[in-house]
Amino acid sequence: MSEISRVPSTQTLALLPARDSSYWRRALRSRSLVVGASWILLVGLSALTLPLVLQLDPYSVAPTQRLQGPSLEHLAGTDSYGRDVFARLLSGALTSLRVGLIVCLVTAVAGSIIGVLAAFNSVLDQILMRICDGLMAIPGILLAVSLAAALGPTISNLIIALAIVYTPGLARVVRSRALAVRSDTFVEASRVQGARPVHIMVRHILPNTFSITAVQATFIFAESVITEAALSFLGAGVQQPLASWGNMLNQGKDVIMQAPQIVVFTSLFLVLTVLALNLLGDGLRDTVDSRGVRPQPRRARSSRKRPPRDATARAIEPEGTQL
Amino acid sequence: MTRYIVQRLLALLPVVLVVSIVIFSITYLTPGDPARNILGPDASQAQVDALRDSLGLNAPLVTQYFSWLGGVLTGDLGESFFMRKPVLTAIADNFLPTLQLATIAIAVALGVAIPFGTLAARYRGSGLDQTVTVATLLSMAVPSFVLGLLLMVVFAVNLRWFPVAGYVNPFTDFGAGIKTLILPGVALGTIVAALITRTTRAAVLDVLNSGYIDAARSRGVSNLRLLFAHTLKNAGLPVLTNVGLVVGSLVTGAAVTETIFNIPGLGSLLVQAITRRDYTIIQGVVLAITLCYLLVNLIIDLLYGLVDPRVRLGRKSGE
Repeated sequence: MSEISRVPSTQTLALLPARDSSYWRRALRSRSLVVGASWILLVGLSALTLPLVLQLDPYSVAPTQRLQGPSLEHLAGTDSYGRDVFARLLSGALTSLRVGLIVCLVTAVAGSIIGVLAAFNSVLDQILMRICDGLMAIPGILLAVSLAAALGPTISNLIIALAIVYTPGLARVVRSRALAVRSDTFVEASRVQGARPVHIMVRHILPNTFSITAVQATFIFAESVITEAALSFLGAGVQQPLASWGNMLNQGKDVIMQAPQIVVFTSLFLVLTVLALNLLGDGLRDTVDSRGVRPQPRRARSSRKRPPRDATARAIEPEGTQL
Repeated sequence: MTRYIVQRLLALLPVVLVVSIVIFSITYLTPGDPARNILGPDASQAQVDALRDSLGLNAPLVTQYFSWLGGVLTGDLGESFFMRKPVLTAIADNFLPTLQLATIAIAVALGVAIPFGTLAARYRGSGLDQTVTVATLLSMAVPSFVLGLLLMVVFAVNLRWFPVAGYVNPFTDFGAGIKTLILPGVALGTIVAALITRTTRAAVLDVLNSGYIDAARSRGVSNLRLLFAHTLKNAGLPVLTNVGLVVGSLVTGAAVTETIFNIPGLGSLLVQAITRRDYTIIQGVVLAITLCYLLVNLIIDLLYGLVDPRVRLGRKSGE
């Protein structure tokens, strides 16, 4: 027993790169992360509170007020049913953010489980990865469209379809990280101490895939918002009268000659939100990437290449990687 | 080289198998009876039973899969219930506009991406580089169908330079045909351009930092020649791979963009099929596009092996 207790705690080593306070400090220093997160929060909070405060109803139809331009009463004008476009934009924001968030959470959980399992069992690895290859060979929107069309156009089916589309990609990324971590010294040490595979998987490997999963999940969030809009635009996603940016664009397209502002405003919201999510993802990647800690020449910052090795691998590199 | 080709083809088999299973099961994901879904709630039970028979839905699932797969392998994708014609004919009829649109888009993308990506890498950190970086970031946030709508507002509705929508085959009337394809082509090409610009920039930066470029420079090779002859040639390989990868988003983007501009391509066919729940068409189109995508990537892989001997001899197949 005394032999074992002298081995440094593998737990500490595994969590070494995740020093919480520095994470937060670095996160706040990343401009793209702050800007991206602010926009998402702003849109989310406005969508939740403004309709109550301003008495906006995305469903109230007013046939006499069809296709009006922006005014004080209707900030973004009205659509072909006389509904307030601004109210529908906010309601659509809620739809998009909800779908995106749920898809990214489901994908993160499913992808992590599949990725880590694949890294531990070679038979399972072959089966799971071939399935992932097959699913990834079908272009994303196409697969989502046909799945959503087959399952029937409801929001929960849309979420299932999007999760099926995005899980394989995440699983692959988690798997490659898990494989890299598995061959690291601290895992070797834990194995030598007699830890069971499940313990190693859950306590050592999984936590080390979290950072990469978080970054990927943010990009999946952005992708889901786009794909949800595309699906709803094509009629395979969120159905009228529920508001979604996609089906608003579809409706706006039909009246593009009379009221181009519907398309313009909706596009603006969609693009800014996707941009914000991408910025959030970029910022998150830079924060998680421990290179950010090291002093760097200013010039190289904006245009640096992807680091050759990942943060976790580097953090435990110093002594005796060669066993 | 033959061994390399065989290796590549064998690696494709399991992928194609999974793809075929996924596409086959699309019909069966639908809650309820597919025959009932096709005919709608008003059809009589006798009609539904008759359709079940003709679709072969009464056989066991595995039998159905293999008979479907057998059909696919012999070029028989079934018949569209709504269009009353074979799926393969429907796809062939709609293929050309999508191909034309994708060609224009990739031409636009490469025409923008290669020079700007190269220059951004060469003058790294300069104003040009920063502009290119911001532009790519912005373009990647604008989905092609949104950009299509915005271009439509500006250039078709306000400026009236191009028709709002419609399609004329460029092979019958070149001028009018190109006019109908320019806006959708640009809408589609922009996001692809952004993706390729990023790869080009990274690849060129990589090569610029290598020793043989220093060597060439010290021998007095001119700047322009250094950039375009020495650097771009070597940076071309990763760019080529990336082009293959974006073909997928290109083709699906084409599908969505087509519906905006009313171009009678594969995308429009697919969207019609979705609203009508025409499963054989959905399966056929998804299969056709996926096979195109795999084929393009296979060709690029083989080209890669042809151009770069390191790939052929090395262990690149294991990735």
